[in-house]
Amino acid sequence: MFEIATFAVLAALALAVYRALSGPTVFDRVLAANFIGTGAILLLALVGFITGRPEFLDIGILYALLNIIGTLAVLKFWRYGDLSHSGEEEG
Amino acid sequence: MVLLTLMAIITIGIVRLRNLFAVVILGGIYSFLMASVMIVLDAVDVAMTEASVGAGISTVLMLGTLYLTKTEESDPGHSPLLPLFVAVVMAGVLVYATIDLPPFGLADNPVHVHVAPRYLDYSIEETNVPNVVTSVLASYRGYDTLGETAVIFTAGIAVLLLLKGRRKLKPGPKRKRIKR
Amino acid sequence: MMDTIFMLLSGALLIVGAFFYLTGAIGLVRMPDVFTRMQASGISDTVGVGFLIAGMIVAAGPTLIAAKLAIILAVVVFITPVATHALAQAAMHAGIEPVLASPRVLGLGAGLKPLETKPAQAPAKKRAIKKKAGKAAARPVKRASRTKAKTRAVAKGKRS
Repeated sequence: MFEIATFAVLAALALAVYRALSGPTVFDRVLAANFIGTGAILLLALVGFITGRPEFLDIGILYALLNIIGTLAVLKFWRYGDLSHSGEEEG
Repeated sequence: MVLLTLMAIITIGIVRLRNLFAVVILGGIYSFLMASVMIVLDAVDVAMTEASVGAGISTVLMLGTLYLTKTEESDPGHSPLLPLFVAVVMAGVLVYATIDLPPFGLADNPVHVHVAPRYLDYSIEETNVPNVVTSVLASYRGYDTLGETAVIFTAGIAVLLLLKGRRKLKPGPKRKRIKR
Repeated sequence: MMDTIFMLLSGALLIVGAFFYLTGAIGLVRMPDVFTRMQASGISDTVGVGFLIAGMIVAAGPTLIAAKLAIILAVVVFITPVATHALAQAAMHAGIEPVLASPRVLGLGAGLKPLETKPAQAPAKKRAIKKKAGKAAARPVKRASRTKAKTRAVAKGKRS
């Protein structure tokens, strides 16, 4: 069961990587990065269960918090740092 | 294995892309995948460091750098052949070095034979530190740790200085934009 | 007896969660624009993660591990909507318009294509109607205006 779930998560990660690479806009990439962060948490938990040592779930919490921090940092930067003009003003 | 393949794909994407913003995001994804590989390899502390430093701090710092520069990478002015050659030779040397390594995770590797038991057996009577890892980091490798701390402190001061300068610069263009 | 029941329950939950997670990932690839992709990834982030972690909680039993898993689930469930909302807002702010559901979109799959074809259609039709009274044939005009609209769309994408 855990193996099946792990393979599903890995396949989902592969699809998300495809989206991150081919995403036409930056927001697709950010979305894929968010998705991959969640997938990394799940992978951590599932691998912990497969190897029989599910003690490292604190790191999963850390990943979740890092995920939101990274996403919000990127978005806030995108919106207020205003880099969408490919650096016309800031040069 | 799948994770490593994905990492290779991400790396190729990073090399191919010219939009630096997307490259920063892909770098964050790469760090998350790298941390997953570390977890599979059972190196949880390294995974934690990789996730927090790679995906968290370095992404934010890269974004701060992007604020100062352009988001589009300029075309390189020279042929990529020489750097490619250097990189290939370096990778070849590194792979050649791994051939001599003992097999991964074996119980009678040199690491497990004399260094680790020495620490485990004598750390309490030599250092009086109850935690073995702490004793190794703070006592046996004390100067090493001191040097690392100095390096990190210097880097932190440098980053703070750079960011402070940026903040002072910031109100200028912004106010202009609002006026316009 | 109890153990087998719990094992079966956790296995079923895990498989359901894996199914939903994979469904969301496929949607992430197949959906036509950012907003619909967000919705697709919402499936995996709520139902998929919820079922997977519920399965793991059942497998772990009433221990500290289950509590940690519950914390992870709560964090993910509360935080991902915030991130997705911020993402959607930023995307709207940057000027990306959502592709509304049209019968053409469903067959097209991933990529920016609907975003290009849709603005291409409207001016083409308008101009075709205008020119119908005149002498020009509809087809070359349509193609010309479509390429124009495409360049406009590309410029728009670059701007955003």
